[in-house]
Amino acid sequence: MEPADIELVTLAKAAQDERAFAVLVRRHQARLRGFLIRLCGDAALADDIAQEAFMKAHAGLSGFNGGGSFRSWLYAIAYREFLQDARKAKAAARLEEALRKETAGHQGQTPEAGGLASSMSLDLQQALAGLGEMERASILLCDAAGFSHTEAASALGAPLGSIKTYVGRARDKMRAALTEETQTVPASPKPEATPSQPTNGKQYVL
Amino acid sequence: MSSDPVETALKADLEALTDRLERDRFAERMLFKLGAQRRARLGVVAFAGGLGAAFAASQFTGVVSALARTLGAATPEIAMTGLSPQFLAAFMIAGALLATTLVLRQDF
Repeated sequence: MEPADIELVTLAKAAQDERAFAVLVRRHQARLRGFLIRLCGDAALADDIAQEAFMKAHAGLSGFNGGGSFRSWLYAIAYREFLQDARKAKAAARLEEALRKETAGHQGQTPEAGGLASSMSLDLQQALAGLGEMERASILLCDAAGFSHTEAASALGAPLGSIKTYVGRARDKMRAALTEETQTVPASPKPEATPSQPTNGKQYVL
Repeated sequence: MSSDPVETALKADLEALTDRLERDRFAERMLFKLGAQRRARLGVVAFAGGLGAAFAASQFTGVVSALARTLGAATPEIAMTGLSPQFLAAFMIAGALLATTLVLRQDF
């Protein structure tokens, strides 16, 4: 049986056991990076933020008192990093560019440029990009990552009631956007792939 | 299991993305970087400790003779304790080593 997060944290804190922290990194890295990629729309930026979050979690492990779950504590660090990064002018420009790419569609996009950030269904991407920052973070944590509302509130540093509101509102907005998309898609002509304009060949249906 | 299409789609998307991310070497790179910090710190402390130990060893006889002079001039009560200058000098160096060990263990 695999040890629980709290047992690994205790080991890493008490015995300064690097292997215990390594297990925590391996256990949470992919999901955390996935969340960050969907949150900021840039895989490289998401990896930088995740790396910084793990570094800070390692350095500040003694500050984790076990009041909440380890993952909500880790995601809280990552979310703060994301906000800090987004505040910086350079990162904000990258973010804007990434989000603009998300909403602009995939026409003319090379497979290299596709990458992890845009592996998502185009409809879903557009619907997600239309959400506010907190709405996006809340719905990604609660609906995609399987966080409880309490955990999400702890990770995002917002009141529980607000998280419920954000999730509900985000679902409504996304549902409306996806319904609208479904109604408009059959009417729009299919773009023809030409040799000079490679497409990623993916068709997503929600 | 939720029947909400938005939730289902988001969950499926994150699952697929997570599967891809599990297979790259992010965790290994991350852990190497964490280990590198620790290794660099150990290197610096070991170098400083080695330098300090070499310096202390070179000063050992000087410290012993200084302590011998101090003990000779001390009150009879202290002289009667039977502490040799060599013992006191070794005790001082052991104290410095203990302090270095505590720093290494990040107790301070």
